[in-house]
Amino acid sequence: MKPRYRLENVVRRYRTAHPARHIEALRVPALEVAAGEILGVVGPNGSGKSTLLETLAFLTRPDQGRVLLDGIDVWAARQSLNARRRCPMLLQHTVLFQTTVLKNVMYGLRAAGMRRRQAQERAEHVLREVHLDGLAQRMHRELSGGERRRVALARLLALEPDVMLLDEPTAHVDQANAQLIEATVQHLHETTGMTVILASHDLRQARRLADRIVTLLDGRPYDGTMDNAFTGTFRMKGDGSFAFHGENGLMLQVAPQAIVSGDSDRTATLTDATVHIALDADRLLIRPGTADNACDVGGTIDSVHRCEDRCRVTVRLASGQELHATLPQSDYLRCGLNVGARVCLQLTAGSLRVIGMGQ
Amino acid sequence: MFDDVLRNAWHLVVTFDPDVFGYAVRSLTIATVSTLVAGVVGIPAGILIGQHDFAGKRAVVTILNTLLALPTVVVGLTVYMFVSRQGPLGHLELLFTVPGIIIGEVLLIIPLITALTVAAMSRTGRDVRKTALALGASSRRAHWTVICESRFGILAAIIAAFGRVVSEVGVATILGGNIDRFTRTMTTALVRYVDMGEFALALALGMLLLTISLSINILFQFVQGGGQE
Repeated sequence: MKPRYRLENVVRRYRTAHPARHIEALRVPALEVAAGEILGVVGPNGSGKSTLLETLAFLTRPDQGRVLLDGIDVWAARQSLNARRRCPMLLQHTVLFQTTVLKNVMYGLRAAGMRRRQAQERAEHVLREVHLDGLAQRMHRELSGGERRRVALARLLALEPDVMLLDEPTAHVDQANAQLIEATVQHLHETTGMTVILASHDLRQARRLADRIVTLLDGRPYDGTMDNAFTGTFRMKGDGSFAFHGENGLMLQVAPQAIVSGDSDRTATLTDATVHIALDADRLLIRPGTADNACDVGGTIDSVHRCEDRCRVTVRLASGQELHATLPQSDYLRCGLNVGARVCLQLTAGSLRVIGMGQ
Repeated sequence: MFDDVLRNAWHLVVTFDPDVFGYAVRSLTIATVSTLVAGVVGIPAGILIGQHDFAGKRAVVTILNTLLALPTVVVGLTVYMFVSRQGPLGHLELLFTVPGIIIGEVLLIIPLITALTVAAMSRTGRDVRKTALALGASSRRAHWTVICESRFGILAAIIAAFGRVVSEVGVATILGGNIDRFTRTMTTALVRYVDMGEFALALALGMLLLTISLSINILFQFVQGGGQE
């Protein structure tokens, strides 16, 4: 598919009083987003998700590199205003203008030069589509958090954009409104084929919505998902397994088959080099009891978060680190697991992915 | 005795005593003109400072905040030195005139309007600007949107400045000279009548001042409430 976006060696730094202490928030050697794709961008807080989206929305100009939209280097071609109109962004923090819902939805249309009557008709149509027509004359301060978020989304939809950039679209939103927002995004993508780039700290949401997921860690993108990310070094052992020494004190014995196919061959060449790894929470097998096998990891259940039919279990290891594992609620109940119980985590086949190398 | 004073004061207010209302009209005129002139300077300055990041911005804001607490007599004295006969602006003969008082009041409230405008812009300015740009607004339109969204804060700054001038004594006394039917304002007249033992007149002025202050505060609360999320 033709790429909608292409990023080449993009670097974004935040300035501090001392040039030597500028903070590098984003470094993307290469990234392509296909037209009509839903790309999920996941990563922990402060990993650079918002900076990446603001760069893609042309709200911030990279310090280095090029951002190409449909093959055009937007900043070099001085087309950032036009590009911003084609690629509006839902910011993480919702700001509604101090007026009615209708006028909020009309804002972008009026900014693009549309006549008032035409803009009003379009805004009313969009509000009907997202079932907010009953709120059209409400003032911004008369809305709940979820309604505010939906109005903010409607403001984007009214622009009929080529790309929609959504930064944590369901953060601080109740479940009912979150489902409506997700349904709107999915429906829109199915009916218009619009490109959607969605930043979320919720991996499950990204998995539900996105065609492809990119993980950001310290401003650097890695293909695929990543729940338990660690940085450290590998050592090959005599029995063919690997020992991973994490910078934060995590020690893992890793059987070759636990490493994602393709990465295992590479791992042998990575001895003593700094690598970034991720353990797939869905592929960590959890069972009660202590670790018998050298390749298993023992710990205690610290917390359990139930979501729909699955449980996300946080296990605290003896060395103090946390590992997350997800499993069906039925399995969790069948195993008789509880907070405080001693458990053993097994790295099943393909549970470890090498997501990057070096600093 | 207090009953008589109160009754006389009430009588002066309800019968629209020409002296009392003359001072009130003069005070309100000075406050209105001063606020308008200071607003023309202070609001754009506040918008510029609030919307732009530049080296030394924090120092400028600190100075502005310090000027908020500037004693009115110090402003009066400073302007007096400029407009007195021997001062560099003495030839303009502004001392003991209403325009002279207005100059002092303007200098007094410019920092107030500027500082409150900066605060209004800073509260939400960055987020509003980013939102406007993210919806495809041009940079100029985004600036204008930030100003519009800060309108309640800016209006509150104007009202606060107006209230400060109405209730101010130091500048009006030093630069106006408290000349009856010429530069005497409500506050300076009140001081004068207390000195003379004319408590009924002083109390009538006090009642009027209190009414004006209360009205300004109610308006202030209303305007601030309009901007709240």
